[in-house]
Amino acid sequence: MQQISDYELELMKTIWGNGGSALYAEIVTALSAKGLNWTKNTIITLLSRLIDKGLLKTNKIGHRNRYTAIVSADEYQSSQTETFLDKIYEGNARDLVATLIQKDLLSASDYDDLKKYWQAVTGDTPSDT
Amino acid sequence: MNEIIKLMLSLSLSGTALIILLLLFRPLYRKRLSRKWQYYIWLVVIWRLLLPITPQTSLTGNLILTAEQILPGITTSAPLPQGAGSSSPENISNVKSDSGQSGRIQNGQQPAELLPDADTAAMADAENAIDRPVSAGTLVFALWLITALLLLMRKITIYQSFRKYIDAGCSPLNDMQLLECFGRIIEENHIKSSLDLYTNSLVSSPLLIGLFRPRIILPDADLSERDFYYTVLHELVHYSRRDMLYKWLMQFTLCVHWFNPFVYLMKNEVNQLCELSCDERVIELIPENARISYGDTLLNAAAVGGSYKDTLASVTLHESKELLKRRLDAIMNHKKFTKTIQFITLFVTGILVGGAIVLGAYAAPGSHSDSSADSSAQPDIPAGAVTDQAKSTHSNSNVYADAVPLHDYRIEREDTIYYIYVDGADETDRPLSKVTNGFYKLVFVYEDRYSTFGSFREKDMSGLVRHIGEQCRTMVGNGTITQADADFYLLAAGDIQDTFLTEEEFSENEVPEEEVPETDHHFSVQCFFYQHPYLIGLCYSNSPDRLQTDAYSRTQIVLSDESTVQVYSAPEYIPLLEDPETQNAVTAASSRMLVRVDPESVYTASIIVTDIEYVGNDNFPALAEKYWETQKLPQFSAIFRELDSQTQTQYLEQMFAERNVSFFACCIGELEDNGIQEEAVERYALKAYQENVISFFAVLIGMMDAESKVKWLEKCREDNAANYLHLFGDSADFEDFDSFDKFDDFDDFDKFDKFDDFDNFDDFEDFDDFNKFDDFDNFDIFDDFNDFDNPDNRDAYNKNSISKPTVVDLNRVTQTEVSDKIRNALSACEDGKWYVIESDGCQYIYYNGLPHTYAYEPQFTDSAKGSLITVSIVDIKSDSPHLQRIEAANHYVLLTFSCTPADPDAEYELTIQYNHIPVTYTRSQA
Repeated sequence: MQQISDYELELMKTIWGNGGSALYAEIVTALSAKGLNWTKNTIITLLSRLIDKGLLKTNKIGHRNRYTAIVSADEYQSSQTETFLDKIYEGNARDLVATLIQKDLLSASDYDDLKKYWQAVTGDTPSDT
Repeated sequence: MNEIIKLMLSLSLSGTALIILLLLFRPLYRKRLSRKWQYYIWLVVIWRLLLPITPQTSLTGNLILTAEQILPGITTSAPLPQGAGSSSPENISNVKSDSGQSGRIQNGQQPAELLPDADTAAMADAENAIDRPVSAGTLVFALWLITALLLLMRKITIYQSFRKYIDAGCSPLNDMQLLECFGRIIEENHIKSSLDLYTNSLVSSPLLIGLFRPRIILPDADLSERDFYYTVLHELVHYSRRDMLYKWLMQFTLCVHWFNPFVYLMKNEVNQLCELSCDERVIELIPENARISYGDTLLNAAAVGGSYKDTLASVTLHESKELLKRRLDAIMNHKKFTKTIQFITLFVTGILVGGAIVLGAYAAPGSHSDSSADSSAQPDIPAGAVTDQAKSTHSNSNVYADAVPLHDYRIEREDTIYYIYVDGADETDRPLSKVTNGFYKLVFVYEDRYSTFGSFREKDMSGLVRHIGEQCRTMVGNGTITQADADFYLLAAGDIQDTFLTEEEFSENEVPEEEVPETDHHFSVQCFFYQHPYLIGLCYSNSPDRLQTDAYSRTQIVLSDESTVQVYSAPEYIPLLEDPETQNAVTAASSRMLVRVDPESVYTASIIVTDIEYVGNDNFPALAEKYWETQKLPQFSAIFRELDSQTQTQYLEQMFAERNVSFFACCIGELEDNGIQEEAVERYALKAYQENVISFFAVLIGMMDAESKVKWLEKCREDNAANYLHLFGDSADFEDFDSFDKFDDFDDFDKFDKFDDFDNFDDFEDFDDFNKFDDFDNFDIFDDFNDFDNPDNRDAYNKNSISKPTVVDLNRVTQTEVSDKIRNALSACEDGKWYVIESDGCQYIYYNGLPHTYAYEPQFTDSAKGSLITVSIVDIKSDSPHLQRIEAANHYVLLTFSCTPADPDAEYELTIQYNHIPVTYTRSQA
């Protein structure tokens, strides 16, 4: 997946926030709600770039355009995570978690939740052996 | 096939004639007419080159027909040795026999027709072609077609490759500030579609590319805000004018007329004009004092960028050093175009279009054949009356008829129209004829055509034979009719004149009014001359053909240098002109007229006498008084010339005092063209300046020599009289713009290599994508910038500022140059904040911590409350030529600022802008 700029990400967020699909007018409203009052040309330019990069597709409904996300927020997140992991941690997830813990980015309660989740997924219980 | 070749050749010929015409006259109009017109006028040529629309007869068409007749084998389907050689005489005889069927030929102009008979001729050709399998004509046609198609395909593929190459190296611009700025500019200019913005270090200059998904590509996004703004604006103007379509149209024309070298000249010219007219438009959109900045932007753009350039497919910011120089000159010398210029522009356009029509193209022979006369020249005498071959049945084709013509005729009068039925023609052959109330007309009705003479006023009828005689003389002279015809017309006219004289006594009603007939006659350059004992008014005629049909009398006069000139006079003066004294006066006046106004400059050389007024005495002061009272300018200026200089001065004073600009302008030009005039001009210029009457000043500027103008320009600059400064823009030979000396030093133009070859021929780009964007779909063809034509601030300023100008002194100083007091005050200032420190009546503008070197200039706006003075400070790139103007590179701003307002009681407000953004400053005292 191609990298997108911060502003393009904002656009995607508005579309994801609208259920994965939005009309142009809805996008504009959502953006201004966030305080981003971009000009029409900017918005359309960014949208067309997203389409070129394969994250959006568009179709006309009557007179208006509807933009639909091809990549969901989750997909994007995981893809970006993988990229990040490869780039910064060279694929080593354990180091990432270690950093999270060291930098207090992972709180104790988060850790407990994760442990429970892990157990549920793998069906393992922590053993003492 | 053949017919198409002939058509192509004729189109090419006509087009070439127009191209040569336009290029030849270029030095005349290049600086005087708007570049926009110069850019679009070539569309007329392209039209002529591409569209096979022509009147039935035309210059080029006839050329080819003549060529055919002279060299019968060349242009027809010349057979290869195996065929029979009988095709050529066949073709020619086709032409002749068809002409016999000239039906009812209408009065007036022949309508322009598409080629109706290329079909019939082509069919005839095809029949011939069956006998001859391969003819030279077909070969030539094939050669032309294949080459044209090849060229076209090559151009398209080159363009695609270029696009691919560019697209590969493009990266979208992500700087939100620039994107937003871009978006705002688009909105300001009411452009409805969206454009994307990219950078690509491979391009040599900013360019606009793409017809369906347009984008602007910059070589470098690290531009100052001002450079960015102007660059983008320039490209957007290109976009909204659809310049790329024009370029493609030109390329298409090049493909079709690949064999014609002149078309390439045209292409180069149009390319240059594309940029020049775009600059012209940009300048209209930006404030006037921003022009120099715009020029700087062009220069900066020239300095940046890679080595890749394509004139074929993209519209760039600049194209070559020469062109750049011309553009910069044009920017500084741009002026609004006056009504006269607009009129001349229209006039020249009309001439060109008319020329294009007359040049025409080859139209296959087949239906009406005509004489060569363009029948629109004499609307009352249709070409029908002069058909050549059709008359072969009549026996009076003898040109030297000394005998009475052999026609039978019968005259009938209806109201004021005389119908002469010739050789058995009767009412059924008669055309629907009308004439203005009170005017007379003669209609000669033949079985298959008719001729008309008229309109005549009643008082002309007693001289009918003379009038008709003159017209006939002309027509025989240019071959429109034969001498025998002329004699016949005169005979009939004589009859009518006789009957008229006898009838006249009985007709009490129908007295026409003593009005000058409704003429669409156009006069130009009217001038009166005092030629004892008359006051003679002369002018040049703009419609010499009307002089033939209207009842103007004509004389030829011999000038002192033994050359002759045609002089026409309005009918009422004909009796007056019988008098030799009057004739002498008119002759003398005409000589003076020719000296005074060069006939070459008004496109025609027929002088018309419009007024002859007998004034008798030489009492000039009294005469002057009389015309002054009645405010009759033309007559007054004629007399003014004859007054003594003291009286002249008195009148000038009075005109100045009464603010009578028109009289003043006329008469000051009439002063003796030696020291007297110069001195008067200077004196009044000073007065006008002091009393602030800019209209008089403007007139006087036009009469100064270059030296005086320079002095006045300096003075106006000193006084900062901006509204007066505008006046100097009118002088085209005004060299004193020192800011442009550096442009000559610009050498580094190696990068502008022509784009020649590109080898990677990839697939055709998919244009379907653009359908999804409805906002892109609304391509209002030719978006207009009309909304932008609001009155600018500068115009408002000109109207409002009738007071003395404000003087602002703004200078850079360094910290070492100021007093200790100031320096202490400076050290108390925080970094990164703007301060205005006042000390001893002078103010200092200070800021510490600029990222770049800077340039500065004051700007003024006047309002009802007082002056608003803005000090504008702008970052400059370190390699800008501006840098030479700055002695030391500083990272702090320290400017001394003092202001003397025009009105000491008025206030002024000081604003500081940094890169066009107003800043807040703190005031302190030192």
